[in-house]
Amino acid sequence: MQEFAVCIVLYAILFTFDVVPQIKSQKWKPLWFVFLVYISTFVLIALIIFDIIPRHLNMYLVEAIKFIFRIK
Amino acid sequence: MISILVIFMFGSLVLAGSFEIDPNIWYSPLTAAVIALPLFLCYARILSLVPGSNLFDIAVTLFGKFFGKAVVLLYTLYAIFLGGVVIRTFSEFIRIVAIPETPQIVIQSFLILLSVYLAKSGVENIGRISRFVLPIILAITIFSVIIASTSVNFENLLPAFNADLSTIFKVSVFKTTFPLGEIILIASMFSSTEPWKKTSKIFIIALLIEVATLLTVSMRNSLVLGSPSISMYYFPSYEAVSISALGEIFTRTELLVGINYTLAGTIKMGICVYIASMGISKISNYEDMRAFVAPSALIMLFLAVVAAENAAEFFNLTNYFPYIALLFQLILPLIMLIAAEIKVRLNKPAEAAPQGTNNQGTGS
Repeated sequence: MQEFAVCIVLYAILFTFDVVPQIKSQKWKPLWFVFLVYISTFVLIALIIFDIIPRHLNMYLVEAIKFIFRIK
Repeated sequence: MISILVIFMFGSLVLAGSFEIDPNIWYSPLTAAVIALPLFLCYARILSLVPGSNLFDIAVTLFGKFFGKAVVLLYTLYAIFLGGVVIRTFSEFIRIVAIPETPQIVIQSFLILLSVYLAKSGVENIGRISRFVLPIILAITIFSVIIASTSVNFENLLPAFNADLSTIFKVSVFKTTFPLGEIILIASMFSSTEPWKKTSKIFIIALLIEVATLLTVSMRNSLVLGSPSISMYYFPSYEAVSISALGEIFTRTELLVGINYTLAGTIKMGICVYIASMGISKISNYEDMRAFVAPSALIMLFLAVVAAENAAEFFNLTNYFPYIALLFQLILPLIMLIAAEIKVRLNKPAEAAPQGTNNQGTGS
């Protein structure tokens, strides 16, 4: 829960100092990407914090490298 | 530019010596330099063949809009991957040596905020801070060597040349790709209007400083810890200095090594965020790259969180970095170099022809 609270604070700070000025200056073009990244990373990190997604990206990466380079 | 190049490579110094394939090869930075030198000359050549353009512009110029942007996308993903790795490395370092009970996301959040601020402040400020920090890092490294000199055992350097050639090559390639070859990313921050010799001189000076420091650190670790012990630690440099003391005045000097790592690591993170946001702005044709700084940093944060369950898993992952780096540090730059050479040679007669016609016209 502590981790989730820290995550909310981080996103709030970044949103205030990064996204809000862009909205104020009406720079709409990059905002779709900015919102997409903010929402998707927040949801994914929350899912990881609550152990719904495992922290095992390295396993897939290592398996992929082993397969491509034929490492035993 | 030299400062940025060196600091960028110093950012991975925290992992210097950890999980060595063969810790007896303490001279591996020298052999790595032999492999890295042609690579560095290749990067310098690419920059000088298309003057006034950075790596991303060069990719679009050489391969057209579609394939050029695909190359830019690949390098952007590499910058994001590298940034994620650096963030995770430093959060592991801070957690292991200082605050083991604190959740990693807390450390990572502070690192993210700092790197976002650094990237938003622009390349000039990154350059200025690198120039300011570089002498401090070098001074601390020299000071740590002096401190460590009280607990050296010269027998630890032996047997030095026991390893077979394939192992030496393996270790050297690992050192070349991590951290030396990573500076290909810096080529996307800068353009060069200088001839090849002058551009390559910058790269060679940066390589010399980096290799000299890596060799010093590698020798210090071997002399203090001894070869079997080095591979037991996640951060051998920190351990080597922590067991050394100069009398009763200079003790606990490993904190200085921690400061060193944190300074270089933070700048490296900022540079990775900057390059990733530059890449996204290039792909999306939106000129203000600062709009993409925070999103790039957040993707890096996600990668850092999801990279591994624990420190052991994460450091095991670093053994596979050379395979990932192969595409970005060797294959793509070689293709770009060949394409740039062909383009320059094809353009030369076309440029010479109208000039010749003009001269004729003036003469008559």
